Amino acid sequence: MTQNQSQKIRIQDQTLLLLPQKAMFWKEQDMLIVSDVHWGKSAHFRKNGIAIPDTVNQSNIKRLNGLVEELRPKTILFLGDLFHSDPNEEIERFGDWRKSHASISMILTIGNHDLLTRFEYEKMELECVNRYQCGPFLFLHDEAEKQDKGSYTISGHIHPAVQLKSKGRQSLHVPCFFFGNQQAILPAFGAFTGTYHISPAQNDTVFAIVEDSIVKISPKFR
Amino acid sequence: MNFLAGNFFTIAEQLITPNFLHLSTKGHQRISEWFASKDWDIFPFQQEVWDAFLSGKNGLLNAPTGSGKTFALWMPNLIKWINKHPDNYQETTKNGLKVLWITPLRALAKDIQKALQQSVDEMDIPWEIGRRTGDVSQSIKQKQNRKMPEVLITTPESVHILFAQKNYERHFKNLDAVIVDEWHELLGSKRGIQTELALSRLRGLRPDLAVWGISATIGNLDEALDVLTGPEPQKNRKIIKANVKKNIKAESILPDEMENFPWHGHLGLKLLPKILPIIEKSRSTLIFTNTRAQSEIWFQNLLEANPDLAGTIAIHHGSLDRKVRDWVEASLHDGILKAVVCTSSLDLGVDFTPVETVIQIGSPKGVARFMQRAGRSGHQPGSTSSIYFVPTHALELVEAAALRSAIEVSEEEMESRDPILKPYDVLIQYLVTLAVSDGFLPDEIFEEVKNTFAYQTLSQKEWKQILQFITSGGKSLSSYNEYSKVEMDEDGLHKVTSRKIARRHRMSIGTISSDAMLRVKYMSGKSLGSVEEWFIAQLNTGDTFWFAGRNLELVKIKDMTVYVRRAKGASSIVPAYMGGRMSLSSNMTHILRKKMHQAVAGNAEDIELKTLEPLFSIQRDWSILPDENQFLIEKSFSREGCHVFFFPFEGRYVHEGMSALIAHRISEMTPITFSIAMNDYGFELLSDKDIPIKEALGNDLFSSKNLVEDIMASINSAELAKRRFREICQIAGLVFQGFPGQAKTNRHLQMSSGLFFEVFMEYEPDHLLLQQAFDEVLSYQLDEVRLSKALKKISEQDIIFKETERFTPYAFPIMVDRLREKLSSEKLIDRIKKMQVQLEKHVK
Repeated sequence: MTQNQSQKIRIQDQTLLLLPQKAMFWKEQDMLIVSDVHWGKSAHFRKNGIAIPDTVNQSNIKRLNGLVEELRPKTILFLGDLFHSDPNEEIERFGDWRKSHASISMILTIGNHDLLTRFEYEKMELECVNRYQCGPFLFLHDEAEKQDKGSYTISGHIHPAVQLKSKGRQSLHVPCFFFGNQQAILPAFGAFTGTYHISPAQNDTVFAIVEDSIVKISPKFR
Repeated sequence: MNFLAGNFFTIAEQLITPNFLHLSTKGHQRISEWFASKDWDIFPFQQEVWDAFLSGKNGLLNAPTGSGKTFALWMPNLIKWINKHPDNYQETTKNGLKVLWITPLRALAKDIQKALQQSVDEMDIPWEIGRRTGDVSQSIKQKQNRKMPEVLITTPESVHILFAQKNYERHFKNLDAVIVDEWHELLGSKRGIQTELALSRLRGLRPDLAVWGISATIGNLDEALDVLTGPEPQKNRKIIKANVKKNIKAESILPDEMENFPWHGHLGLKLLPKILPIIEKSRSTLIFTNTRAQSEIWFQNLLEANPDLAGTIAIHHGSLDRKVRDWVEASLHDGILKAVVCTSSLDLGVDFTPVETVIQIGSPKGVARFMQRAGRSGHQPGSTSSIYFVPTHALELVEAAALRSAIEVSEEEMESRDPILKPYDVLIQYLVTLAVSDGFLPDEIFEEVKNTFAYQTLSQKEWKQILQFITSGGKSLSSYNEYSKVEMDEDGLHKVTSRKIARRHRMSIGTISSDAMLRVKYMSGKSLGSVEEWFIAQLNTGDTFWFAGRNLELVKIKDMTVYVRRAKGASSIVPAYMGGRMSLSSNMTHILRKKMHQAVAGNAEDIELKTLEPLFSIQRDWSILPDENQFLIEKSFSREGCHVFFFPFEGRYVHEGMSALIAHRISEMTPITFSIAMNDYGFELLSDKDIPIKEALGNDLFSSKNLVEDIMASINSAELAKRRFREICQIAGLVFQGFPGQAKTNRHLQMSSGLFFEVFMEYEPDHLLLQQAFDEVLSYQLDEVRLSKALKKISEQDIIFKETERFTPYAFPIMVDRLREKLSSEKLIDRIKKMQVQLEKHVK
């Protein structure tokens, strides 16, 4: 992962670094932003008799640790669906992981999968909010729940991906970052979380995640 | 004196023919009287089955529908019962379950139930004939649980659902016989494996169980018997043939002018006007299409072509609601309907006496299926079946000629149904089923399972892996393992204790369809059927679509149900279903090539081939018309890139494997990306850059060297295994669709089989279910044996390489196919960058 090619973009006079690890880094705030981690998904399946290899969560942790080491964020903002479902042992491991990064403040904008009680989040020292306003940005899990216009919204929830086509009837389906006029959507950070096809309109910008690189796609020519 | 007496006895034994002997029993007398009261003859084959059955043999009856096969296997059960209770057979009730009658189609169950019940009623035998299938109400099932009827007509899934009940063994303690109807339909499918496993358990419970199958004619009847009876010693089994010859009259519908007849397509609407008079003339007609979408479109177009047909024609396919289908079947039976547009949903079963004519739209892909469909008309013994073949594109006329000549073939040339071997997924499902009810002891069940045909080569190691999979979720790599499914108690009994898991498992037995289905209902609540989720996902509220022969408007989607109302106007989209991509059978390809070569050599008598002559001459002008000793490869360029076509005429399945193999071998030479299309005649490799086909040919492209390695590599890159994995995931219980109406509570447990595939590939590449997916691709889809035979044939032919300016009549139907495989040796990032470049070029 040494040759990771991230992409720097400027939006609302802020510098955002799009990372091929499916995360975003906000330079001015030293803030690492990740969405839809679905921590504890494999344990949830296994607990219910569906045999997913129990190493899936490890890969999430490894990737997260790598980012923390590389970027040294002051804050980590989780854009919802940090946890996959009700409590299980994997979710308890999150507490340990949290403690090992005690100096970083962590914020969670609650998502539809986050079923734990506020008390449990606070016990793990997660600041827990429905929406989080910071500078020009409004962060929340699901953009559809935004009530007011105004701030530029950054959200997750849908696990965006785009379809690319070319000559020779070739097509590819890749996860992506989405940037519109008024809002941005982050890809799902969690391994094996699935994707949802988006169809960008003119003037939208899409950054595809291709292995270790971020590639800008210009959908207005499609 | 002793000598004399002995001798006399021997002579007497010889004198008493089996018939005579049996007629002397009370059971035989009673049954003969009943046959006489119906004015029916006892056919020799029926008598033969009775004798064999009553002498304790197991066996297989080879007989077509409508031949009296049901009574051939039903009566010996009654004879046995009457003889055992000669004095009180008309009084004893509550006898427990005596006979289990397994049928592949629940639609058939009702008819059989009716026939059997009538026979016992008329003979004053107080037996109850019950039915237990997915559409039988819960209250009836509960009644059965308290008191089983003497006969239960059911499907393989429903037997497994019974096994999943607490204390299920009690139902079978009086069981004497299992009859498996339409065994040829189950054989070669995973439901056939379910049947084998069910039989293994029932034999374990009732070692003297009689097992009989009924099968239409297939190429491997002996093997069919082996699979059914498993470990039986040879001498105790018998195949009895009814030898009922069916006369079939087959005719092709020919286009008037070849010039206007399409080179490609699969709908066949062009010839629709020629169908109308046939429907007009015939009392009742079945119109077979190959896909559900095609049936919807034909139904719609028939009505448009002749509005007078409204109310007299109907549609029938597997996605329609059971009630809708029942109504169509009953109306057909009563002769109310002039025509029914249907799919394989009406291949089997129910006797539709009024049907005089069958029309087959497009290739039936196999001789056996064509004959079976033909047999749906002229159902009465001795009458002639009449079938018309409607080609949907020009080259299908060759198939038409092939089919007509194939109707003459003897049994040896009928297709075989090859049994599936050792599928782990079905075994996993079965073991969890046993664990859900009373639990199982592995040693006992291993013995039973080993005695089935399918799992005879199952090793201890594989068995251990399967047990590990269901008890600890496979290899456990982390320190905290919360996996919970099957647990083992101190006596080694494997059991499911979680009620939630048990309930989910019971619900998922029997769902072998891989796509999530949504119910389609009117706002008033009337159900029309079900439709694939991915199709509905493309629609918005207010959009209209054509389903169940109606134009419908989507109102809302809620709880796995699509609510609709009738829409005005005629044209709207039709759900395009997956499937319908079957391959020609190898017998069909064999006859097809023969016909093709006759046509090329100019010594074909068939009217279809003569009609095709204008097309052949275009092919000859633009390229060549390959003969028996030539293998044609065509190359051409278009705006889309470089196309290379190969024409082995080996059927879709072989082409699937061969195209992946060839694409893989070329991609080894240079980084290149292919989009691959195929039909039953050939395949196409398409790339955005020039395909170095000449160099590849110089490089022994069709060699059988390293065949297995190359096939394995091409499967990996061509995503074939991933698709196979869908079904495996579902059967093994990884993918769960949720209960109807409560999809929400399970959402956190849903994950697509594609994602499962990726998880396993990354974290547990030696997972046994992955192995199964690759094995299935290798043995059933790519069919290594057929593929290497085909390669060998090509290596003996002259390769003719033509660069063509236009797409030829052979190439065109392949080129237009949108459903494509992919294979690439380029780096992903390079491909993506190319896509970008191209996008920007486009705008300038």
